[in-house]
Order: sequence, then C-alpha cells, then structure tokens
Amino acid sequence: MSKLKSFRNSNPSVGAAPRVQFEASHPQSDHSEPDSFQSPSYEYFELSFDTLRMFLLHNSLRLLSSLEIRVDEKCTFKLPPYPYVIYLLDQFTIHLGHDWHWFRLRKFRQQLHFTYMTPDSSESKDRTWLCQLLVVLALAESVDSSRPPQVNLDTNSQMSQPSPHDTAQLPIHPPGREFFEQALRLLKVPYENASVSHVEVLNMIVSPGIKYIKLNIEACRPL
Amino acid sequence: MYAGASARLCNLLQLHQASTSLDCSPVEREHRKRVWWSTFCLDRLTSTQGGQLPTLDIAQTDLAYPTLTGLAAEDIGEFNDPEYLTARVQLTLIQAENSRSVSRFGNNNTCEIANTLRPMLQRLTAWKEALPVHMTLGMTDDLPKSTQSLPCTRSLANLHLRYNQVCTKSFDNLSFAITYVTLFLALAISNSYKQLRMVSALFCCCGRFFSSKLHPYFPMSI
Repeated sequence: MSKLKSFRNSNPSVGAAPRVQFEASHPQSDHSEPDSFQSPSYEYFELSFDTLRMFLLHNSLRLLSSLEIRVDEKCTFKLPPYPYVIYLLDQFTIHLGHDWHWFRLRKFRQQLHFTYMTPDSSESKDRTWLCQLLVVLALAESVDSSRPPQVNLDTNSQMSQPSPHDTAQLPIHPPGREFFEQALRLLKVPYENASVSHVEVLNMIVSPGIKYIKLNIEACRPL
Repeated sequence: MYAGASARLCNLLQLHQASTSLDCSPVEREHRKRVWWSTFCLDRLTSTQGGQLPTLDIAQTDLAYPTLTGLAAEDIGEFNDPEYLTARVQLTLIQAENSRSVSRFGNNNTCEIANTLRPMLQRLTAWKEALPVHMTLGMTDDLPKSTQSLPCTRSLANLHLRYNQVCTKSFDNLSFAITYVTLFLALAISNSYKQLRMVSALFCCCGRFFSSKLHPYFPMSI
C-alpha cells in the first residue's frame, strides 16, 4: 500500500478513482505511547470498472450479436419522445403492470417527468434509473398490440409474394430490441453500495417478457 | 444469472427481514417487502425453468403478505392491488409444496396415492376459493366476463392460466405412478404373472429415473 501511495503521489493524473480514508482503531499501534490509541489510516481505491458488468455483457453477446463491449463508463443512448414514452408506460401498465411489483408507481412517473422536463436533473445521469426506464420501454414495445405487422408487397412484380431475395435484405427489428440493447449497456450490478433500485432493474430483466424479446432477437438473426 | 444477482442483492440488503425496514417510512417498508416477494417468485420461476435450486428460501423470511394497511392516503397510489401479488406468492408456495409431495411419493408405495393426491387438490381448491370476488374469472355464455378494468383483466387471466399450469404440472408425474399402479393391478387380477413381472420391471426402471429428477426442493418444471 505504501508503494502504491508513493506511486500515486508522483502521478496524480493516474486513476481518477475517489479515495476514501477509514480510521481503524488498534490498541497497540503506537508503542511510544502505550496509553493512547494511534489509529492507522487506510485508503480505499474504487475500481474504475465493474467486472460483473463485463461478464453480463459477454453473456448477452450470445443473444445480441450487434452489441459492443465497452469498458469505459461513458456510453450514449437515445430516449424516445415524451408522448411516446407516456404511451408505452400506459401499455406496460395494462399488459404487465399487475403481474409483479416492479417499482413504486408514482415515484416512477415523477422520475420520468424530471428526466424529460428538468435539464441536468439527477435522474438524467442515474444509470440505474435510465436502465430501468429503458427496460420498461422494451417490455412495453414488445407487448404493444397497436404495432401493425410488417407486410411488403411489390406492386411492380407479377407475383404478390415477396421473393426470398427481397426478404433477406429487409431489416428485421423485433419490438423492444433497441431499448433492451441500450438498457444492457447501462446495466451495472454493483459489488457494494447496492440499493433496492438495482433489484428492481434485475427483476425486470428476469421477467418472462424479456425472454420474449430475446427469443424474437434469436429468431430474427440472419442465418 | 440476472435472477441470481437479484436474489443475492436481496440477501445483501436483508429485504427478507422485516426488522431491517423499521427505520424506513411505511411506504418504503411496503415497497421493500413487495420487491422481496416479487424476487422470491421470479427466483422460483426461473429456477423451475432451468432445473436449478432456488436461491431464496421461504423459511428465512418473516415478511407479511403485501397490504395497503398503514399507508397514508397519498401513498396508496404507489402500489397496485396487493391481492394480485399475494395470490401469486401463495400459488408459488403451493407449487413448491406439491412438488415436494410428489417427490416423496415412492413407486413402491401404492397405498399413498390418495394421501398424496388429496392434500394437493385441497391446497389448490382452497387457493381458488379464497380468491377475492373481484379476482374470480366469471364466465357468461362460455365467454369471460368483461366487467374488469382493462389493466386487471390481462393480469387476472395470466394468474388463472398460472393456476391451471400448476394444476397440470402437479399431477404430471403423479399420473405416471398412477398408471403404473393401475396396470399392475389389472395384470395381477388377470393372473398374467409373466407380463406382470415384465411391466413391473419396466416401470421400476422408469420410476427410478423420474424419481431421481424430483428433488424435494425442486419446483416442478414448467
């Protein structure tokens, strides 16, 4: 530890991990004054990445071939327009909301409101909350009954059926896939400092609805 | 993996113990309780599908069922009807208990069919009869009544589908044992000892195979 400290002091730009000092009591730490306690200090270095997240992302590669592994903490994502999010949230409430206890209902809508309406809100920077929101949107899109089926008719061709060649070139997007991919990028299961919100997110990813999305993704992967 | 991580975090946060939530507000306390029950059921569901041991144990918790009692009026809107989650939890527990009953049923214990079957039927029947009125699936002219609100209708149908699923799977392996006993008795009555020995040997081999698949702590596969 002392060598690590000296290395860090000589290279202050290396590792931006926060340092937390703990005071540990030891009855015999200072031999010069046996009657008083001299507490040695410990330094705690947080890891700049989470290996569990790496492992979960690796597992998801088997299902989402287009997903990239990213080690760095920064990642970009897209949220849909607010009216569409409200619509999807209503769909989620109708089709899946009563199956289990996913989250606190009013608190979720408040966080959603702050994310969209308040610039630089804490919610817009909270990975766990954003991951949860994206999983909700993924589930809602997967059960949204208003999405029309994709039908392609070539009116110029003498046959009304699409040719196998045309079918292979058509992009296939299972509903909810994009949201689910983004949610997995944001997912970070902590080793420490866990909260109930992490459990909420994991429960949603475990839910049978997500399996439906995964199966659709598997079925739509090109051979 | 995700289910295991979720259950592990529940243990880390000690959500299974009511005493750890005493410092929380009533709404947060109810929220933590419901999160644990949901995690418990999902843990059972995923372990059933994967043929694995569940992580969370019902014997370790002292939590009550979900409720809206004790919540302020402005906090009730944070939660759905507690009866839905309670019914699902109870159904999950019944499924686990029925699985244990079937796993204890030995292929040589022909007299225990009624003693095994009757409690299983009673548990399932009692669950259905104890459902609140607004959660019963009424039928009119062979069609489900559309008196429920739309958000509840789908979850209600899902709940009853789950009930039927538990009924079917609870008797799946038990019916195998019943078939063996029936055939055994029929052949014994017909004095066809040679066929009796052959069939008995065949069912014993199959019975040992299926019995080894039924662990007392394994929920039935769905």
